[in-house]
Amino acid sequence: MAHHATATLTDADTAVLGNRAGKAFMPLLGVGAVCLLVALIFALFFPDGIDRFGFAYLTAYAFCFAIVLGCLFFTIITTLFRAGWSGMVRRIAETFAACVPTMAVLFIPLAVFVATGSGSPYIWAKDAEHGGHHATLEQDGSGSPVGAVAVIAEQADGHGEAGGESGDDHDVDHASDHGAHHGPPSFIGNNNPDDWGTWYSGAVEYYMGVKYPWFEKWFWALRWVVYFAAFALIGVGYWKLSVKQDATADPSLTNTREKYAPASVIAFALLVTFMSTDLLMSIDPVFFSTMFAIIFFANAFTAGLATMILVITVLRKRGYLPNVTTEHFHDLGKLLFAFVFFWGYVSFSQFMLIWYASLPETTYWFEIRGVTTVAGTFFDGGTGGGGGSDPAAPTFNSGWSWVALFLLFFHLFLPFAILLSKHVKRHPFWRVVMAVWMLVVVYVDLYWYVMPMFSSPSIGLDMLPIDLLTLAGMVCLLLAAALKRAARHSLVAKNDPRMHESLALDTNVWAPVHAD
Amino acid sequence: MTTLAAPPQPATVGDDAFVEAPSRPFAILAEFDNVTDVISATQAAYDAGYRKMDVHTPFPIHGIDEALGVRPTILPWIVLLAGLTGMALGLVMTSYTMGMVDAPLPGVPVALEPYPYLISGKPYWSLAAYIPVIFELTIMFSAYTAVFAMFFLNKLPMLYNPLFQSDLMRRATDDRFVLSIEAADRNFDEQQTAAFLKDKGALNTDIVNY
Repeated sequence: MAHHATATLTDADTAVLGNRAGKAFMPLLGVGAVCLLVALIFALFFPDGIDRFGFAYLTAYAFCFAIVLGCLFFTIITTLFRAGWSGMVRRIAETFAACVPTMAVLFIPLAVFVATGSGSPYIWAKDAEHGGHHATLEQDGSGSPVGAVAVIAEQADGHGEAGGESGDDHDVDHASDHGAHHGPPSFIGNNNPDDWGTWYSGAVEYYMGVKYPWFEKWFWALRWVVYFAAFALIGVGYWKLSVKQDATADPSLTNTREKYAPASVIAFALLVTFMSTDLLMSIDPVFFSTMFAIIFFANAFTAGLATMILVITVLRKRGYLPNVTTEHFHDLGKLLFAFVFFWGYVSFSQFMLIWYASLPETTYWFEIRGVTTVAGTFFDGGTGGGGGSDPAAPTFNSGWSWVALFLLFFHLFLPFAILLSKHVKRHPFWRVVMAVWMLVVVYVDLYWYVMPMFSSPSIGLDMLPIDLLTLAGMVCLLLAAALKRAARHSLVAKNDPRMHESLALDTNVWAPVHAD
Repeated sequence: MTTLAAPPQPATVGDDAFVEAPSRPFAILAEFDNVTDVISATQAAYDAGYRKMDVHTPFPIHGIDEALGVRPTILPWIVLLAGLTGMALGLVMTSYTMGMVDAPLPGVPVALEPYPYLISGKPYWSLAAYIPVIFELTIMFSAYTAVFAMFFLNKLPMLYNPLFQSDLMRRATDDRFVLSIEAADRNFDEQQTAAFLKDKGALNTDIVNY
């Protein structure tokens, strides 16, 4: 009815959490820290538990950063479009977007992993003393220690000098796994399935040379400083402008926000592209895909929207935000639905291009993640379990295949079919179910990117508690940070000049700009 | 509904070869000058049992769908059906033209025989390669069906509507809100309906004939 055009913000809408946030803040902080600590202690009981902890931490970190970046994107894209409908829910997104500094603090353990040179979770950070692939080459035909990168680079014209320099830094040990291999080390054309390990270590050397100096630690650290500085500038900046408007009711602050929105969106696109490459894709220096960053972005926005739906539902249960109506949830649900399909679209694009081109330096990425019709791989001598040197050895076509199929059905087909209905998007119970569902599959998707590098072809479920505890701990810490940000300010951007549009939101009818 | 046209007289020689049928009412129009009145009048008309009615306004009004008792459209289901048809057609077409390698079907004309093509060493039946075709056909069927089924459900294109005869309709695109109740409605009665609308705050009413 037209009557809801007269809705106004109530005291419950503009309430400040204040001390009530404090009651949840300390428990969240405590549970988060304890979960991470228990995960670390649990990891000590396994020979490679610390390595696993690194991968688990990376997965959980990527998940939480995805939520923050999804909310950041929601903030700037609605500002860019001068959206009116989002006024009631925008502050929640801004609060999470302002948690970039927290994510910078939580990044420190990953930096420690890189600095110690254990090669986990980033294989390119492996040092020689850890028995890594940077060890000295003992014998290579000529008898002189020459890096594999240098040899390959000299074969490929024009790269001799640059390759030689990096080759000196990254001498290679091929002797251990490379006994039968004669001539210059090369991974290209090496199709012997028994020799996959050699293929991969050679490929790592080669691509680290090709991509020099991307995997230099100083350059890596420099990039992360830039990422965090820029994301914090946008995320905290928009949040600060918004809470300032709460106090001053100055509509020109909205003009300021909109003025910087286009540049922020462009910067966001570039930053997410490079950041996700550094965070997730670089655990595998060989693999390259121009679709990877946009898949991460799709996951991030999905996670951000699902988090917003859940957080607002919880706040409404406690009596806050009574003016967030079914219409707002419906719109958030529409975006969630759109990005379910967007994820499927870009993920399939990545798969199809790699499948069609069939280049070994990219197809193996899917192979070790279980997406292969080849029953036999180097693990079983290439004959499909039973005919190789080790008949009992597992193949890639095992546990991770189920995860990949799970993603196909539970990250694309089923949520697409379910979220297609507006009744689900508007239903108070089912929209919560779908939001939790989407958060779970986003985590599984990130897990599927990261963990096979550690455990494939096995799925390595024995150490699953490490992953789940790390995830729980990290999510608790993120929620604690968001709660602290939210505590001293209204839960709604109450002086937003377009608030009347959001209050009068009716998705059943096209809304004129000035509803009243 | 009330008065049927009298049977036309046999044509006589001369200018009166065509006899105009006596006019019968098509609908009654009621004019309002604000949103609140038109919504409450519409709601009252719905509550009084009128169903074959519509509201003509210069801009969309929140809540008018509920007042008119507009039922949800079946368009989404038609589009879903069309999308699934497109998907099935894409799957069948790709599988038939590319995948039917060893089975020349008896009785199929040469022009309609499968045409398997070897592309970069992939198996003939490769679902991954078919997905873009299936996807595009799904989208195309859905999109075209959405547009043309919407036209069909709205009885478009409709080049003439008897309502256009009324002067009241001119201001429905400017500063008036017009409620129309069709004579085909089972509760319609020229005098009573007009009185009812006047009672609900109509500034003017007008009977429109065919």
